[in-house]
Amino acid sequence: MGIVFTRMFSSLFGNREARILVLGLDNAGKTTILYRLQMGEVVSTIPTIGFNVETVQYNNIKFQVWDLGGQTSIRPYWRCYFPNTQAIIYVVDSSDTDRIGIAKEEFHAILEEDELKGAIALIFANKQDLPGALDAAAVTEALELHKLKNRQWAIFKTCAVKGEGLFEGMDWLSNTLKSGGD
Amino acid sequence: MASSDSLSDKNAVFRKLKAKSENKMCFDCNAKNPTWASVTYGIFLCIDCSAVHRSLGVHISFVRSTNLDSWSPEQLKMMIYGGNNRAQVFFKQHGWTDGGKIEAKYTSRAADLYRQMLSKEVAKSMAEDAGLPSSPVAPQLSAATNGFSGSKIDEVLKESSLGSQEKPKVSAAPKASHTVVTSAVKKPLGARKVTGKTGGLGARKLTNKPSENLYEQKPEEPVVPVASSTNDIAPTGSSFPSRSRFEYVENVQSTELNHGGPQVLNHVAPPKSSSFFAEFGMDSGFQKKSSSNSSKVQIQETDEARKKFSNAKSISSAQFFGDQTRAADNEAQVTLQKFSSSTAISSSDLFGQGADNALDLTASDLINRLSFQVCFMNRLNFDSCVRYQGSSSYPYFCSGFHYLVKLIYFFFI
Repeated sequence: MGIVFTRMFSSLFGNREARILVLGLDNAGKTTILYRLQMGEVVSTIPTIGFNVETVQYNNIKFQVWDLGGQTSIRPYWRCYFPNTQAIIYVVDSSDTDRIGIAKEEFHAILEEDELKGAIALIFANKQDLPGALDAAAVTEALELHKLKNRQWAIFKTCAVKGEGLFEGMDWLSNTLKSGGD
Repeated sequence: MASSDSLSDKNAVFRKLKAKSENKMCFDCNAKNPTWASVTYGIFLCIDCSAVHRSLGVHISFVRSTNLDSWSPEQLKMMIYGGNNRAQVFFKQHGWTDGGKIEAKYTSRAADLYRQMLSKEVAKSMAEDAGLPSSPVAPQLSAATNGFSGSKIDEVLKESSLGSQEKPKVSAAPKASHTVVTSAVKKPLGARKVTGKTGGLGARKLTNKPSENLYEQKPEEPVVPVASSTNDIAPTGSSFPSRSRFEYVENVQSTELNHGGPQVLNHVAPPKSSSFFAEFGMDSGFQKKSSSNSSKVQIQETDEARKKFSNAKSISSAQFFGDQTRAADNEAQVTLQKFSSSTAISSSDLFGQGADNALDLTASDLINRLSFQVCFMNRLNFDSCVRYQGSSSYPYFCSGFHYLVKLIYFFFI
């Protein structure tokens, strides 16, 4: 019954578009996630120098997903893509515990940007299949998400190569964007 | 000064390392001019092979770009101590010739051994470096800051250049591996044979032999564990003790070098007075380390939240804050329990329950939840009704009420 109403609900608003940035440290799994969402397949990726952009249709929202390279020296260029962004997908390599502090710093630095004031934040605690991966609660604490005021966020455990958790996250994203847009 | 110095340091180190012919080719595929590197093994890779390494996970191979990434001094040391040639010799000894599947190669026992060996050496040298400045502080008191740090940078560069030319210091380890080469002759036949046959079994069979071998042949090996025991377990862990030592030295140095006016300033902000760090190319690395350190402390401090959320697959802002505001209440626990089994929790979910913002919810969320609640409530009430055989009208009223609520929400939506 809920499904019926969901359909009715979404049909009322028709297609929408949203501009999404996929950010995160290098080798977090951003490109894999992008193509997993877009094609439903695991592609073998090489380090992204520059960006990948794809359109992903999900829940009647047309997501324009930008996947930006995460190497240290190209992170400053992320800001060029900030304007008009509705949501950020921040990807964390949960098994890379040594660099989770850096991930936190980058994340909070991003969210301090004025141009991302209204953007909602979806965090993917990725690579859950690897040994020693932190769970959602541990990543929440490591990223200090409790410090995020006035912003909607959600964190999901994901495994991009298995496709776990991604679409739950996209559900949250689309639902939040829909409810926030009215 | 700091950033530019660390950058030039990184570039200088890589210039030296890439001058060696061994490092001019990708370790895995022999492509020319590799610009990527696996820090874990101290090898240079092309972008395509780096992709495979990245897919293995950081516990197997930690990949950095020599151009696009920042490098900590330890990471640079890994490259200085490693190098394609040394890794190749080591892998060859253990039956891994050129080619072969990258995944199998780097998840093998040999790779594990090499990883440990390299990180131990680097940890040891980092500890030595940390110890070095503390002892010669007295003789170098007279030296200016620049002189001191300059000598330091010279040392680093010397090391890298020595490795390329005559390698007295760097070759301490390579020498060891050379001895392994020569004396390992008794064993490699078997090893090569085994690995040739079956990948997994061969790798396992190797496990005890090479390790014994290593211990037999390597004179330094007994020394290394001592250093590592004081210093760390994992390669990166070593940064903490060394870091603190650096800090201390930094203070001593900056105060004793008679900086005059800014003395107090230097003392107050040790990480900022990074003349030493900067030369070493550790400015950025240092900051990051300290941050990760602090985050670890944070984790320890806020253990409660982790316990609470330990079952949740996802956590949202609203849930987190809802939890904090009503921490004492049972309600919080109820909501947590409800979410603990769910795969996704959003802030709107929680607002919908806690406050009047139910309209934020999407239709499906709301209806699903309501219908669950209705079912649940009905069953509860029904049970109690049966048990007490009392007010039989209550369940009907209750369910009617809930349907009413449901309908109202539908209209709202």
